[in-house]
Amino acid sequence: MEISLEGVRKSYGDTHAIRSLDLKIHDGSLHFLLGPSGCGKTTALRLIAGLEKASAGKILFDGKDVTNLPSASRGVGMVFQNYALWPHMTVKQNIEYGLKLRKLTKAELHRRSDEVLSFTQLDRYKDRLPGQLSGGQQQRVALARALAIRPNVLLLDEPLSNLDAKLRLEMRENITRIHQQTKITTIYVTHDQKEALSMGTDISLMYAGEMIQSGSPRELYRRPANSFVAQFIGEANLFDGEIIASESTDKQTTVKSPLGEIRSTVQSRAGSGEKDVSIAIRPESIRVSYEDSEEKGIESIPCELKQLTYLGEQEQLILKTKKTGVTIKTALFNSSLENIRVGETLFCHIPQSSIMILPKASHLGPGT
Amino acid sequence: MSLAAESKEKKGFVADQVQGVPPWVGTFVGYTTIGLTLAVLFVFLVLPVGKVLTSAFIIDGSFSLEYFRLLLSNPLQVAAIWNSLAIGILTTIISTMVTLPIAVFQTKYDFPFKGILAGLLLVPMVMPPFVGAIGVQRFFAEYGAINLFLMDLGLLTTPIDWLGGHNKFWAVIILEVLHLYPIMYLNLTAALANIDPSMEEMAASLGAPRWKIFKDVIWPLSRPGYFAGAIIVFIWALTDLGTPLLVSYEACIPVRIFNFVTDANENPVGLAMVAIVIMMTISIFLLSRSFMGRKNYQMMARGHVTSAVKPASAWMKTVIYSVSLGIVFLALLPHFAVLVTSLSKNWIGTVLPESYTLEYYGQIFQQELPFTGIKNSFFFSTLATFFDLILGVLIAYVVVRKLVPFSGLLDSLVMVPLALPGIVLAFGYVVTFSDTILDPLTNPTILLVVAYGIRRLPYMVRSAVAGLQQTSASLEEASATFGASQFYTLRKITIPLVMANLIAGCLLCFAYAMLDVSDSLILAMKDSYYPMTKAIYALFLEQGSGEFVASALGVIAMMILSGCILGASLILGKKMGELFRS
Repeated sequence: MEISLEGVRKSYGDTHAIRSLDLKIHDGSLHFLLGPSGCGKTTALRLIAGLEKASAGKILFDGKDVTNLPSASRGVGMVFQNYALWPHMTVKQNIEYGLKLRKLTKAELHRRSDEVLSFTQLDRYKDRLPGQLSGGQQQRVALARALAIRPNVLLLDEPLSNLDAKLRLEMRENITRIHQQTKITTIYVTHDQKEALSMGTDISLMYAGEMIQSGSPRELYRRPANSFVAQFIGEANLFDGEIIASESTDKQTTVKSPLGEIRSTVQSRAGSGEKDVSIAIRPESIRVSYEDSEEKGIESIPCELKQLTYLGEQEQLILKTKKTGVTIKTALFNSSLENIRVGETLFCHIPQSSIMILPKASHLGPGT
Repeated sequence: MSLAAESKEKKGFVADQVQGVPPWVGTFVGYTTIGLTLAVLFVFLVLPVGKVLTSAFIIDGSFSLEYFRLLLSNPLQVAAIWNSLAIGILTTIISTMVTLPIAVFQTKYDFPFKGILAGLLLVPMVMPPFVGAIGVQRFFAEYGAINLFLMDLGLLTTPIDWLGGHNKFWAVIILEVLHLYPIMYLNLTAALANIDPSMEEMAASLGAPRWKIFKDVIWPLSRPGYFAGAIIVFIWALTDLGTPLLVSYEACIPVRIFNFVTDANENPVGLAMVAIVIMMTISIFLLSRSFMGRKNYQMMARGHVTSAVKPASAWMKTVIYSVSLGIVFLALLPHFAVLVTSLSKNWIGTVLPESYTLEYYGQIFQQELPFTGIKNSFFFSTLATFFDLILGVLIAYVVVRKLVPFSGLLDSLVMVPLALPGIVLAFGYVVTFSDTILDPLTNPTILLVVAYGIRRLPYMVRSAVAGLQQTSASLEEASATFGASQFYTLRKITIPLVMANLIAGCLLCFAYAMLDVSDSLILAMKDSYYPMTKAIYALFLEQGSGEFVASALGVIAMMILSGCILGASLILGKKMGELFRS
């Protein structure tokens, strides 16, 4: 099922939960709606589920307009954040509820509920009440209940937020497995960028009721649309900059910044007339050594080491530039620097190919 | 994997398989409920009250205070107004003094049998005060048990006239306190328990002395709860008809109004009296609103609430038990007297009856009056409970799920009957519906059912609201996503989940309808329509064995009420207190 939202708006009185949302969800994808709390991602999901009515715009399922169809007629399977398991029904009754509404034959109904029960490994618990299950089991029942009706689209509203860290990892794998085996178009709402990066086939990042960027996890990480995206997905060193020269032919841009005049060899994402931009550099793209580097394509900046956090497979360094005193974060993997100490002078080597020039996103909150 | 395969081939739109329900149904239900509620409340609440007010103030088409002048020029009536105000105020003050220590015991100390004691403290609420009044007569009459006992001991030579003259005034107050303090208790304990103990600890750690903690922290936070209970106690004490009637204390508003009913449409002074009660009630409400500051402080979300309950010392235990049990004992004494009366054989001139008999219980089923009374009460109360159930669930659903914009207004509107005195409503019905098809003189069934129903509707709405609020809306939404209609969801998900609350609400409505005094006494005018309470009153006035049969009927009434309330409190638990707030 391909799902499209076209200019969808949702307002409650004067407040706009969603301003204007265009979204395309491909058939069979595991599409993440990602964003900080209050960004409108859950509202978007509820609009798709038909639990809220759009104030404007259109929602299409496989090209068919469902904007005014009630939830009951959309054939969605939803997993609520609090699971919404009916406490007075057993696991089996919960799962069969949707099937009974579909007027199946007795045999077919049982076959399908058994199938889902075994698929989610819940056979043993089918006669229990939800209150007698652990958090992870409840989560599986919620998933099973939504899957039992073979939905056109599976909607997951922060499905893992109520689980502890270990169980969360386990359920991530579980959901990925279910998606790969069923190929049901799945929309997954979360504020956890790691969940989105590790599981999603597509990610749409939202902020303040608007879509900021939509694309594959790699695209969002490597080619963020602005400083907010760069910072929300993964970590980034962000600086203000001013473009002083740009050559569109070989995609070279020279920027004046707290790091000095530096050059980027990545296509700028700022508008052509824009002078004030953000510069984003991923911590893991920065190398560190005691010596200055004259290598072409590398910006070398003298810094003082301020803080060192050893994490085993990586070391996190916080450095301060000598000239301007701005902070640079780096993450070193398999570092060869054995006995570095706080206070020492080091050089940060930043490849020009990893310096991203982005439009400023100051109106988008804490981005810049 | 078969699931995968089938979901691939099942690309078809599920929309055709499930019957969809148009989204306007919710709105439709919302507006229909509002319309229905407004219509019922208008015809059976606003209209009668309005009719009383307009008839009282408007004479021959123009505004006039003539009826009030007539009323206030009669010193007997003026005295009745002052007496009733005094009864209301004193009952409230004394109940507060009685309740405050036991509420503090319950919230601050831990001691053996705490739960049982808490339950015992509520028992007097389920004892109809006017039944207790029968027992009081027996015990405190000139040659009643108390005097005879004291004379036997040689402490008394001539009997004390306990219930003579002005003593009746205090008898009424004491009976009201003993009946109404549980309402105050429920509100106060709920308010106190709701205060996070860490707030007190914080104040204490900053060096505030105990009285200052009470003044600056506990009192401001529990004030809304206290006033919510105090208003109900005040208004109920002020307008209770049964108790003064049976103690034969005539110098108060309710009994005066009762006497006016017989010529409600001829003697306009009664209208003025009822109008005064209405205005008093309204002003008390407005006054208490400003006291409360309309604020109900929202407690901040909190983690684990550390309990500040400490074990009671041996000395403290003695105080707790003696005070609590003393109150319960006093409160139950009149009802105990009723029980003894109902079982006694020829109880004259002795402290306790010489012999016991079950004869009067047998007579209930042989005599016309008491047996018809039980039957009528069951019939009227059952209908009233159905009325409340249907309207109450609809209103609660609309209010909790906010189906329409002004559903909050609906909520406050429905709570009005809680404070509306029964005598006002009943008097209003007589004035409004006499000489119509609903004339209570011909057949009061509909008016009685509606009066019983409307006055207990708040209990039903509150119970259902409490249940719905615990039931997250996503449970219903989940059902909707599977293609269930709103009605199907209501039947399969919502109703089963709030069933316990609905049963509790029904039990309360039924029990209080069974024991309604003011509506029954005023609206049931013919023997054949007498409900149980009016039958008790009529029997009590009879010569001969009447008093004993009345007592037996009273005992049955108490058993019904206690059974229902016990059931309701078992189901509702601590939520019970929420039902008795304005």
